[in-house]
Amino acid sequence: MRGLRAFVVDAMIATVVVLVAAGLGIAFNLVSSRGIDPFGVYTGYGDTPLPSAEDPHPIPVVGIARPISVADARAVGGALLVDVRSAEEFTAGHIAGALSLPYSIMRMLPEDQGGGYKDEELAPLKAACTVLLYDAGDGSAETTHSQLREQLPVLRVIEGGVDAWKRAGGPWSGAGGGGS
Amino acid sequence: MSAAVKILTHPGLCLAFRLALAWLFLGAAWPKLVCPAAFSVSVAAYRIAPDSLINLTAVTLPWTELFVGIGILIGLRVRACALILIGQLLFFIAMLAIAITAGVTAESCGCEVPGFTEEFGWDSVWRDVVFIALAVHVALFDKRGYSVDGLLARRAAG
Repeated sequence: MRGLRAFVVDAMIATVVVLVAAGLGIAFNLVSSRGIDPFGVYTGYGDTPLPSAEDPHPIPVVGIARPISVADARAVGGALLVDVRSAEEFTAGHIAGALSLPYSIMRMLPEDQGGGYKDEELAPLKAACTVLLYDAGDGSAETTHSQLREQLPVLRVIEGGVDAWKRAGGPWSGAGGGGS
Repeated sequence: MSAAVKILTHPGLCLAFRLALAWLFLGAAWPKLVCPAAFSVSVAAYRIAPDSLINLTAVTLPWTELFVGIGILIGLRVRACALILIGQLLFFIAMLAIAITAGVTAESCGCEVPGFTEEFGWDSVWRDVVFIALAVHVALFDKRGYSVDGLLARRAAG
């Protein structure tokens, strides 16, 4: 009897701990810049295609960069934006807060032969929670995505590249921006 | 008391199991806490939770793991923490088993633990079964040795 009472007390404490932890998790994500919306519908930040009426259980498509719209990209908390255009284009103007990782410095070799990017070039991407790539609309972001997708958990390509971002009036640094 | 029972109920063994479980849960919680978006991808990969619950699962589960990991590490409300551990591990096993038998394949089980495989497969299930055994041992045989619970009990006893 005493053992049962102790078990019930422990079970009640366990329930309270779970509820408090869940509440803190929700609160933290609501205020943190790295957080996601706890009550939002999952929008597929990764490579997994979203279920649809035709395909309710889609199989992840390996190597294909599923694009993210500019609106969704701006809503993702804690994302690192990576500009794969040339260093000159980046200097002339880029999405505010973006990091330059020119597509041209990627070595087109298999990884075991030193292909891809160097570790020091990828360090800031690996430290970020979500990485969003963008290009000038020439497909270089998709190629970069195929190179990096196995090294980064959440990697997406911004649909329409830099032009779509400007049209939407996203935050811009330098000349030729479309918004603030 | 037989030698086997003495070993089984030794406070040192309980402490070792507590440390192993704390390492498991704190190690698993950390990457999910700092990057809930990545964890939501892992949750979605199971194809079990509805889209409306994926984010909620991804933000609440790691915090429970954090609380339980700290509790079991310092020995605060050890049995309650062990109960949560057992519940969570049973939940993980059920989710993995359902997903695997349904033919779901994913790159990661979303259960990264330093030094262990995070492959989406039966290996992860057996690993969780072993950790359940440790948690059951802690729940049954923990005598408040080397713990905050013990410290508080000794203080209360004067």
